[in-house]
Amino acid sequence: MNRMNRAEIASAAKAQLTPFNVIAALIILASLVVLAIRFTRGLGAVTNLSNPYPWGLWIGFDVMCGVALAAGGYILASTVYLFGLKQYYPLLRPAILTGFLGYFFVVIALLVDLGRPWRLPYPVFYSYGVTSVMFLVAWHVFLYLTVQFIEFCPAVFEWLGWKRVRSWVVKLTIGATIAGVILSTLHQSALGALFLLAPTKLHPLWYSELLPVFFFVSSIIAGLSMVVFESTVSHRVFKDQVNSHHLARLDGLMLGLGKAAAITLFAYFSLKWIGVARGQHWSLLATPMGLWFLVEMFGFVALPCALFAWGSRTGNVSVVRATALLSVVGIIINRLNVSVIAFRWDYAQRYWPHWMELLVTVGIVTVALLTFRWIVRRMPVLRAHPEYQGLQ
Amino acid sequence: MISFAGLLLATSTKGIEYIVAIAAVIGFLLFLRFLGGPRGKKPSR
Repeated sequence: MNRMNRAEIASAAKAQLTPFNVIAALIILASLVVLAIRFTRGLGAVTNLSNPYPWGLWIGFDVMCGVALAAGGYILASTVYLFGLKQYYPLLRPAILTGFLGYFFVVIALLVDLGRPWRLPYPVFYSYGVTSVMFLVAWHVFLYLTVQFIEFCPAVFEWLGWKRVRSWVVKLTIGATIAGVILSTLHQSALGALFLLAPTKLHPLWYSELLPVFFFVSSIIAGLSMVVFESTVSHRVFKDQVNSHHLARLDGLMLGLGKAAAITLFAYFSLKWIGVARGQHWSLLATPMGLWFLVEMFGFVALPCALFAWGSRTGNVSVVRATALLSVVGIIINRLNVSVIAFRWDYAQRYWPHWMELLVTVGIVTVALLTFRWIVRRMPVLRAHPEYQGLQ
Repeated sequence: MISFAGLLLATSTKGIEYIVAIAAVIGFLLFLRFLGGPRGKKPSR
């Protein structure tokens, strides 16, 4: 019997030795070593950050991109619960889970950048910096994480079999969704508002008094595109988890999201040019940074807008799925442009991330992916729980 | 989008801002019509 148990354990351990798991384990181990250096020897030992460039990859990618790409949660929750488009329900739980994990790991990345993690609760419980945009962002991320946890709780309680607690939490859903939309609207735009403090440091083509509006509208694009992208990947990787009737409806949902993304991209494209017109910066378009701005505008805003429109109009789901990836890349480029590339663009000594900064970022993304996989394989996220089918 | 562009029109001070905002609204309406239009040819009677 004992020998059999050992054999079972050995075969289970062998099954875990997939190339993905091995590479993930190596990345996480290496990241932990870098984190140990960062917390014992400071930022200077592992990053290329300096006084002119206090915000690097960890803020530009992990925080700015992380928050934008986690917007799928509030987009889908408002689509289903507030606009009443119940047919999108099958995409809701994966979107909320992606959003929750996105925000959770944004906080982890922020801790790595800020240091002194025991001071994390200060803006919420102890030191109120009510005149700071960062105070607003801290409160909103704290509250929105709580809201997203409440929104995801029904899946956890279905998994645990806690029926009564689940029914209590479900009653909070509409209130949590409304709170989530309010909080998201404010903190997505607040991340843009952070850069209103640096009109002389940000390139004029990216700097605009409309930056909060740009960040909010582009977060809708990021949320919609991430839902399409994440759904495409999860339905391939976790094929065994998905109900067949849900798979049959999936293409129609993708086309609907593609159409919504096309409309939002068009609005965003127009607003960006209104921003350029208000700043009167037409002459800067002929400079190298201006050309990069045009690449962002036409390659990662106008092109995905046209492709989403064409794909959703002709019913071509493959085009919509591929365009979602292009759109996600566009959002990442935009956030990196605002926070890193076009920030102190005229400074002689340019910032380039240290390989250890890159490693920590990859490590955080890897842990997020592993957590997502762990949850999806256990809880009713992509599939409906047998006892609650029909209630959704 | 339309209400926002309208707000910008109301606060615009330069000619180019009016032109861009009006073009944005007209383009947006045409784009919505394109997206909501029928797919393929209409059936002939």
